Amino acid sequence: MRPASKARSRRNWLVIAVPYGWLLLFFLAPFALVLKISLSQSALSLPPYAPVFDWSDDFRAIVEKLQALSFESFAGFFNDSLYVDSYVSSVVIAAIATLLTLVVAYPFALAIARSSPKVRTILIGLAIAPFWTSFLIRVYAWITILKDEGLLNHFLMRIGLIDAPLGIFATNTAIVIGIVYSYLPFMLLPLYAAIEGQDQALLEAAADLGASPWRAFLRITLPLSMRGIIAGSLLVFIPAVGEFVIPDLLGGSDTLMIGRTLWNDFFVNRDWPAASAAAIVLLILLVGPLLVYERVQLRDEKVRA
Amino acid sequence: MTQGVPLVRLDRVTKRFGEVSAVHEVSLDIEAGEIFALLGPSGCGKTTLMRLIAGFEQPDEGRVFIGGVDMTDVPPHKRPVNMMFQSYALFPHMSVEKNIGFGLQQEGAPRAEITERVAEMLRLVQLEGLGKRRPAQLSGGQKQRVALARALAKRPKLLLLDEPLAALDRKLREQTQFELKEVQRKLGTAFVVVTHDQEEASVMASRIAVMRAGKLEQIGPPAEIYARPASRFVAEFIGDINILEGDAATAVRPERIRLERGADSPGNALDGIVDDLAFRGSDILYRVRLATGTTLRVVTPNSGDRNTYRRGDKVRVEIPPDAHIPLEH
Repeated sequence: MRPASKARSRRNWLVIAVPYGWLLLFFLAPFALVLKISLSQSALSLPPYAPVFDWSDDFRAIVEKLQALSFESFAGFFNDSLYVDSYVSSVVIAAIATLLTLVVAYPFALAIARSSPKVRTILIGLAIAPFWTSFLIRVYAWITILKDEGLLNHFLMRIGLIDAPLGIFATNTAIVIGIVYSYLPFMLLPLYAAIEGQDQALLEAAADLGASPWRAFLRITLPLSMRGIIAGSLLVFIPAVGEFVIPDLLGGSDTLMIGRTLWNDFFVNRDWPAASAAAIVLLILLVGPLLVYERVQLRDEKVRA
Repeated sequence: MTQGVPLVRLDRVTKRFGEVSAVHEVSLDIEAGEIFALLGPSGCGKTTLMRLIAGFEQPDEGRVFIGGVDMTDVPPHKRPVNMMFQSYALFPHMSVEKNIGFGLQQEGAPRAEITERVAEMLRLVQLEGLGKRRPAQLSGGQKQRVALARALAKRPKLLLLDEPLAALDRKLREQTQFELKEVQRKLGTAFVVVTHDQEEASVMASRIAVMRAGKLEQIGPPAEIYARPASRFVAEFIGDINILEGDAATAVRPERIRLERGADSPGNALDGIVDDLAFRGSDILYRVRLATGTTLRVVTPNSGDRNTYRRGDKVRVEIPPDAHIPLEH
């Protein structure tokens, strides 16, 4: 290796080391804490779980505490239908919302990618403009839109489309609407990036060979934007499964989403070990789709090479 | 198709982009089975003209007829012509076979027929065995062949080729020129070749249309355009030329000029000195400075070491009367 490339590889290493260091500190360390709590037992103390480890302990005490650790909390919630139901319901709601976000975002992304460079910059700016306002406030605003005496019902009744309020607020439908709205930019941007990079001559070639615009879209544009579809869907689906604010504000009292159930266990039931175990199971469940994405990307790169 | 109807007829076609006329009142006929070259410098409108035939552009004025039918308002996917793109535009997510079969699939051809035709096309372009590869796994020359096979798979009566050899290196280019002609002869498909390379146009085409600034300058067989260019632009664009200014400007091709040794009588306009020379293998290019100050380019065949001149040699220049090409403008 020549000195120049050696220096470059050291620089590259540094570039990689910074974000990984960040992740180590702010992701792995809290994760270790959560893992620790999940192996403990609930206790009437402050914090409300049996201590796992103490620097001041002697060896015997450490061994004793380690022996007290158990996977009881993990076993516990598989028997607890509330947790299982929350997981299933979260995944279903997030999946529906992700699919809807994709359907809504795709035409937007297509329009942005096909517009002139000047207009494109403005449209992308508009797409990310909502980020300038607090997420919490934006979700709050949807309450005033969706509630029975809210803007939507008022408008629809005014123009005579409906006679009585739709009753969307405080239902899973409201949660799906909230997720689609909140996460739209996360779907839009990867889709835009995937469509914008496509060679327009490919569509002309498809048309030249007899494909109608719709067929050309299905056979060329859509498959070539698959990376964007997968990336955008994961960016929406993963946080949506664990979403807490949207179900709490827009959902009803009967809404089951894992984020909410976790919150209840932490703050209402004060069962920290159970809640921690649930959080870890959630993480493991969500690693699955990430690995799928990673594999698709690897395969893609192999084809391109 | 009716007898006597040209394969393509452009009738006073004009295409404007904003203020600029990319194509201005162009009328021309392309006959079945011929190789027709659209030749001109970049920006002359040759690509726009081809895109008007393919349907990717709509003319602002004039009509486009294909096989006697007015196709001016027909979208590209319903036109019976196919195109080979300059960038090849191969679908990167499909195998070579899928690329070639794409057009037939759009027609709704049965699977067995597609398979058979794809194999036939792979044989035609000598790519047997590469059908399963992706475009990214092919060399530049192989991509060019796949693009050709894909464009020919539907057996169009007319194939449009946009700078078909531009992306190939020099050696491959010449070989491919002849292969394209061979394929054209086998299938009898009419080719319209867009090119900026006059040599390429001359080698391939049975007729050349020379374009300049959106207008047709001249249409004719290569030999005719070479021998009797209609304008100074055409004369200068096609091949090497000497322009002799005078009351009536004339042009003389360098290879029509003969050189003789000697000439000690200065003052004769056709006496000169060899200023420089370039040995080009099969021939030799001389720059001869005449007593009048004009510099002529003269090409003589390389016939061994006889008759070669050196820098500073005095020579007599002889231009046969019929070598003068009158220029109007």
